[in-house]
Amino acid sequence: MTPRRSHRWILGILIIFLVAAILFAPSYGWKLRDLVSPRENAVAGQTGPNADDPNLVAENDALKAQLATYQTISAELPNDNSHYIRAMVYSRYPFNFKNQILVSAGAQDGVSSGTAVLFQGMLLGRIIQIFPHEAIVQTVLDSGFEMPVRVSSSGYDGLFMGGASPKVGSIAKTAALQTGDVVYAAASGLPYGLPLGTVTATSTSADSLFTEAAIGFPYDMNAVQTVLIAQTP
Amino acid sequence: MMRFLLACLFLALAFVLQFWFASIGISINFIFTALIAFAFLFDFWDVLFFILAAIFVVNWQPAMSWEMFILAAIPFAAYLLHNYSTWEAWVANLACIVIGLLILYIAIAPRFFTANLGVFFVDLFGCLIFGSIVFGALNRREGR
Repeated sequence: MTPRRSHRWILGILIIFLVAAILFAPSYGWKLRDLVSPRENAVAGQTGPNADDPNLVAENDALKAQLATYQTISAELPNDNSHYIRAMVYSRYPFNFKNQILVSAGAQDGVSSGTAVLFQGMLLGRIIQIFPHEAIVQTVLDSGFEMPVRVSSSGYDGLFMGGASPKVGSIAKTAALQTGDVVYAAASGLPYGLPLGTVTATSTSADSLFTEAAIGFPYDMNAVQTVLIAQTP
Repeated sequence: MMRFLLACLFLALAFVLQFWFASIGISINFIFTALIAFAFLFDFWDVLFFILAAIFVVNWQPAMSWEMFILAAIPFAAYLLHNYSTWEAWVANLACIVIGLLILYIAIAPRFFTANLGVFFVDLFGCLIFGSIVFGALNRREGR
């Protein structure tokens, strides 16, 4: 058998193996992808080897301040974790067009479409597609993610719009917003009061009719490994 | 055989680069670009193997998606077209990267494309550089 012919045989076997793996065992591909993807801490300021770093200490203080802000709406937050399913993040949408993740709980685990997905008590996204053992989450950073929200303890109404630069628009021009004000969910089908993030900057809309607020998140979406999924919408 | 193994290494490098850049918020379709370059240098079965290997790693959900179909179809189209092309292979490779990336964006997310032209051009720039390196290295290997 010539080297060229043996190459063909090996290639044929590999092609059959790959087709079988894609169709029947895609999870091995996700694991392989996980191996070549860099790992990071999901939460900014998380303790670790550089816990004495002044920048991390400052970020930690900022998070504590944000926590105090969240406590102003704590009475409205869901406090019963028994209605949530813990799931691992299997993989992420491979292109830059969408921001979606695949999680390890599906229809057979009680997940239903449209339900809230949380990370560290904050709204990370919602379920948009369900498989028997997995589900796809549209995250708050997806350009198609929009939902009514309220801003600050005063509860100014606004419309959250995801994307590379997430923001809250359609806020009354008279609203007195400040950097650090908490943004929380006020959409039907999702638990009321789930925090999404905080205001990082404010501006006036292009038509000068509304205030807009840029939103920051105290976690790195690319590093989120586990989430909680609400069992009922 | 050595050229095939070198191509496998380039594909592995494309995986690492694509996911590493994505983790810092920069999206460059290294894998897609590598597949197009391979379409100009390898025969049908080799190209099929590389495409399946790419789908195995890139596919992110239990079912096949429109995105994976596009990822497979464009390099195959490049493979079929290069047989009829009268252009120099390296020029045709770059032209296919530009056209392929344009089709990828428009077919998957037309609204994203029109709203984020800057993202597209950064992606295109990175793809043209990587595509030239892959094509140049493998083509030189073939010439030896």
